[in-house]
Amino acid sequence: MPLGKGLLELATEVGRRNGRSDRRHPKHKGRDARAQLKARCLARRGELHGRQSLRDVTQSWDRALGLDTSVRGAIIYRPIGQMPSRQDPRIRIVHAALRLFASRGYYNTGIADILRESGCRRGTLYYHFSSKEELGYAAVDESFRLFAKRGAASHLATEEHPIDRLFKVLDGLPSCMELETTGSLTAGVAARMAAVHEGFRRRADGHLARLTDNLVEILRKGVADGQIVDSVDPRQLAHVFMIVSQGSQFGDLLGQPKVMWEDARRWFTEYLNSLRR
Amino acid sequence: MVWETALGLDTSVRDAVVYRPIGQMPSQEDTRKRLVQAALRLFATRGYYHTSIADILRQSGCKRGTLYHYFSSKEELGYAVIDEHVRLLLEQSALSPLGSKEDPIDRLLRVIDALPSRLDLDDDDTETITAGISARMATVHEGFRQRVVEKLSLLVEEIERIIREGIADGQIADTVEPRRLAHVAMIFGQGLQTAGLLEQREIEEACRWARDYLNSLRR
Repeated sequence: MPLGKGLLELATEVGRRNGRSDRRHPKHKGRDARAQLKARCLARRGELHGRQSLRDVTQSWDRALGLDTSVRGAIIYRPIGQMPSRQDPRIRIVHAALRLFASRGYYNTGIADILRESGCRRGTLYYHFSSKEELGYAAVDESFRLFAKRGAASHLATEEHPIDRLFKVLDGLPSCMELETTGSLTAGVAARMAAVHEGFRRRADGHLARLTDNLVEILRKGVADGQIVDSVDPRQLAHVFMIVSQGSQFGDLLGQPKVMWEDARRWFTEYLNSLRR
Repeated sequence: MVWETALGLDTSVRDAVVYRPIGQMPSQEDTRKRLVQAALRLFATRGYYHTSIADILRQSGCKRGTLYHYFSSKEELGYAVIDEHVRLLLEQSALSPLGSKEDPIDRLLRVIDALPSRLDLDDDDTETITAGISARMATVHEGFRQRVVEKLSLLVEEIERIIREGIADGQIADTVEPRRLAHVAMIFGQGLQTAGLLEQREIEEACRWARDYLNSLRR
């Protein structure tokens, strides 16, 4: 990760923490100020690595001042009921990240938050992911995997009438997915992440392109098997379908009134029904 | 300059005042607009949280005091950017055909042609694409989200009114339900906008289909 990027994230994290300082114990306020100072010193000397988070900086600073850093570890603050299950730590980290990225956004989530949420150690996280960015890519991949396996797109893989399959997908939109490990809902997180990061956008675009190709194939087969009227252009219908589903996801992301999507869905269902043979 | 600095005079103030040609003294409205458009461009390219006040000042060429005269905080500037984006959409960009006096279906067709929207800013020297900037901002800030939803619902009402008038004037088939078509149009437009944000290839085909469909609603 380039130095500039690391600094940017650090600055974001510092800003976020300062913004929430009302929720923190007063004794921690001084720590943020110290961390900022330290970060500035490091940045000036070109010693700040992309990997270093605010907390690392804070801890090394505290150590230099002779303060006890061990008390503030993640373990102490973890409620007993939330002890991690024995599930694969990689999946647990990715799901924790997905959940946080969905609720707070990518740049407003710190590595420390992900560690707290997943109940993993820092070492475990960096064993699986070299950076927060890499974790971000894994989160985008995972959200599409869930979408295809459990979400709305899972109905595409069945052997039913192609139009019926599309109905089921429409019924499942806007897609909300339950993450098995955290039991939380995530919707539109990939879109949200794609909006703030060019690499994530390209990754999400790739996944969507594969989804479109899959849809075109299904419709083409439907036309060939005589289940859909001949006048349908499979590619065009697939593209329209993608645009409509994205419109629904987008509306959901914005928290638009449900009635809008209900209307659009009813209308689209009627339209698709007219294409049966 | 060295002399003045040594005397403790503020040279920067003099520069700004003396060297600005007389004909170009900015009016109040212009300065505010310049700030908002500079912020709009930066938020669109870098994102809201990655743009600092200093960046906005550099881009707009305004002083810090000027910015805080118009906006009490970066957040307030953010709201102004969303309002400006919607205003530009309605007055100069993709949604401007809605206000014309043409056939309602033609108006909708022209909106579809212009989506996903790009904006041309007044002081534009390079081509800037600010498509979906409001959406982008809405995803990172709860207050912005509410503002965008508010603006979108006004837009739905406007589209519904246009369709209703079209039916009353006998330009659109009376089997069409105005509210439902307006909702469909919104979902479709949002889909195009999202796809534009992701730079997907589906847009063209989908637009062609939408044009055919809208044309079939004529009477």
